[in-house]
Amino acid sequence: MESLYLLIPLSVLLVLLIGGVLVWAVMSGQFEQLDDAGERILRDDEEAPVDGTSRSAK
Amino acid sequence: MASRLIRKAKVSALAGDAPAAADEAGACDHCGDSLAGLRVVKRPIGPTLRSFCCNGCSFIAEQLYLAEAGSRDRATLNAALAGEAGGVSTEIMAMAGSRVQLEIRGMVCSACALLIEHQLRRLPGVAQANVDFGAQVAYVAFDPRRVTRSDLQQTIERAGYDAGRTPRDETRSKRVELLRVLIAWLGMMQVMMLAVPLYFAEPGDIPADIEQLMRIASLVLTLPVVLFSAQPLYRAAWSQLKMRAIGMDLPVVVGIGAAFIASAVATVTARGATYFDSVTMFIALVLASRWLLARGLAAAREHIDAARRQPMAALRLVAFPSSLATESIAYEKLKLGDRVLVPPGETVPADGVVVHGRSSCSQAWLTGESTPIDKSAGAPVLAGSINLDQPLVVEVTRIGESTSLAALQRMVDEAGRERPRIVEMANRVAVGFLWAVLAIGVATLAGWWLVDPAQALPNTIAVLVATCPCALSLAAPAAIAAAQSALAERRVLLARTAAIESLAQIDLLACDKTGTMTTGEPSLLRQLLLRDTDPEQVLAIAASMETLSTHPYSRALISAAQSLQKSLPPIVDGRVEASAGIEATVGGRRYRLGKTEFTLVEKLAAHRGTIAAIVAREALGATSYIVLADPQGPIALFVFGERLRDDAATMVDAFIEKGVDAVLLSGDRREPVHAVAAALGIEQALAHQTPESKRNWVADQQRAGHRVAMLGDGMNDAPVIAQADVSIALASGSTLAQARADLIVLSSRLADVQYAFAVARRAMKIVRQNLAWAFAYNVVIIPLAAFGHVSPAVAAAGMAASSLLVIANALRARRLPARTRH
Repeated sequence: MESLYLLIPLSVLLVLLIGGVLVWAVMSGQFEQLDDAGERILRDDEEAPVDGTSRSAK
Repeated sequence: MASRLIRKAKVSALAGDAPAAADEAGACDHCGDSLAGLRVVKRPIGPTLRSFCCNGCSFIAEQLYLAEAGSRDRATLNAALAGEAGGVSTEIMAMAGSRVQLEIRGMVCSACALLIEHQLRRLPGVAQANVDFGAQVAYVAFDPRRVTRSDLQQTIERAGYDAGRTPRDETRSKRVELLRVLIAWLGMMQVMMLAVPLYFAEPGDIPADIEQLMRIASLVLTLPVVLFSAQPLYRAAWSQLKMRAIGMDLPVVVGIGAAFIASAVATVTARGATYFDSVTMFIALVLASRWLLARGLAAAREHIDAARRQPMAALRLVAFPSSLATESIAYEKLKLGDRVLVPPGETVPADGVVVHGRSSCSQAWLTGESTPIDKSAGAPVLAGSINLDQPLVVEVTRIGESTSLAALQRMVDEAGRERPRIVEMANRVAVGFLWAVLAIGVATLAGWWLVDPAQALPNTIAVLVATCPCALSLAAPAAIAAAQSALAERRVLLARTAAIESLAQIDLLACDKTGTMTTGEPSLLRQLLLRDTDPEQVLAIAASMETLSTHPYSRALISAAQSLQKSLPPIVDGRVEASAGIEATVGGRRYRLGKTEFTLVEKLAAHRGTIAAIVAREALGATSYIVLADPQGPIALFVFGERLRDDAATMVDAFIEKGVDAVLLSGDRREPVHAVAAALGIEQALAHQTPESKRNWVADQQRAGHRVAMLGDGMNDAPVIAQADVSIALASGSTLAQARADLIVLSSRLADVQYAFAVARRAMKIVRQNLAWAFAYNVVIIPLAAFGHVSPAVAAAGMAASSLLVIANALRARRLPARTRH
């Protein structure tokens, strides 16, 4: 039972840490364009950024 | 002068090559329909008074006149506009002010839209402000001398919403929204992990100090959920309070607030029950269902926006008579006097006059007329018409706010403003529910205060928490989100959430004809032989000649020949004369195919009577036909008309079976409209309708208590679509760009319209079941809580069970029972 005095606060700290990682991941766009990584290999020009409204027509 | 002659030629062409009909005094000046038995509309078009069969024809004729007038003399145009009172002209004058569209973010319900409209209209110089909640856009007409665009933006921002932000801010706010959901779920999972042992522990199993430690941990984990994730709920509740329009968010916030504050106090003082599990679970479920709904709406909107961005470029001829070089420029950048090239199949970008080329154009978007209209040099064309045959060079005579397209847009805005606003069912329930809960809470507090003051506060909080309107607030959004995803699978876009509710309640379905109940493309209806020959051989010859042309009739003939699996004979020395016909040698014989005058050249006098007799006998006056002839004389007549969509009759039957009456509203002439209605088993059919008269008809039906759905192509129906309770458009590709409707059927299949109706009905049935469950649950739990019999564990379990039940039930909206699936 005594171990809980350490484990509960530790678990809270861990969750806060995971929350922090989540904040970073979402805000840096890791959850956007999930197909992008897979499609990248099909693209010729590695440089061109892909934004939904690409003007590759030009 | 030249234009006068062309107008006359056009009228006779419209009368279906039957000059006798047009020469009669009693014919409509625009469409050539007989005026016998109609209330004749007299209207001055320029200097002359003319007669029309309906307001629609006079509207088109006036628009055409104005487009033409622009090229002759700008002063004449202005005089024409200023001189005429009433009707379309004054509408055009009224549009002199500025008009903007502002994108708004942060609206959560239609009450928000109402609040913003309210604030905008209070500004001096704002003539009109409409906020479309579905599109998240404000349409504002204002006087630029008295108020500026940034004033409008500031007003919207003061009301607590964001207007006209940059894409970068938008990406950021999208990410924050996702983060709110994820944080809420992370918090919920951890708090649950700490809460579950307490549900099952016997008293004494867990030492008091460990329990207190678990509570503190729960409080720490709940804080980010309450302070960060739930923010949108507070904002929505606050704006509802300001509006005095209580929605679902206020009871939700009261519940969350009461539970959280009581739990926090209990944790700090180490006395009393905590409800952190309820709080986090509730926030997580509400946010997740709303996020899914918002994401679905955003996806639909993006799809439409992407299409809208595309066709807005015109081909401007840089130095027209000397070269045909073009540059692509945006519609809005066209200037008066610019020459634009309109290739076949493209949309005319602005009102103007043809300066070079001969072709035929479809005006179906504006008038619903299914017959293409010939255009040659000097003829006026209207923005939004589709060029069918040959390239045309058009000189721009009216642009932007003064085009016929803008006049139509204005009608749309007006109808949008008048549209009855639907208060969502859950919201109506919420108001009563909120007051009931507050009253019971006060009664509990007062009652226990008299009996046992120590129990008063905990029991009051138990009432507020146990009744926390979880199921109530999830009932509608969860079911609608599920219905939305079911529709998306069939490629039906839902542009406005409340449309599901409206669609489920309709009792009248108003349908457009051209392009909706029919395929919109002409097809070969009949083939009449004037000589004793092999009909299939004749068809093959005609189809073979038509391969030279791109006219819609060509496609119809060729596909008719292909369906007979006839091989097309080779043609030699073919020649196409635009808007007249084709001449070619097939199997050693010279044939002509096209209009009577073209095909019969020198033998015209001899055979005109024969053709006219057939036209009279077969009642072809209102239909279109072409003639195949060789030097000896006419061989055959090909009659064209619209073909019904395969699934049109099935759909009409399905709606009638469910108690929804179908009505056909069309801008076309009487014969084709009544023919289509008869074929579909529709009893009421109205021909000669303008966008405006359709709108009035729908408004009349609404006043009579009907709930009307409008089914159309979303373009020429735009005003009526805004007026109807719910609108459905069949649109894809280029038509999607101009389509405005609550539901957009990308597959263009009527079976999917029927499916959408079934899904909507089922979704609303599920919403009612969910509300009934939530109500029943509350009836049981409130007395128990009020009398102090609800422990934290029971309250949390009850909440979890009712939420999960509601969500599980809502998911059923994605599946239709087998019997309604066709």
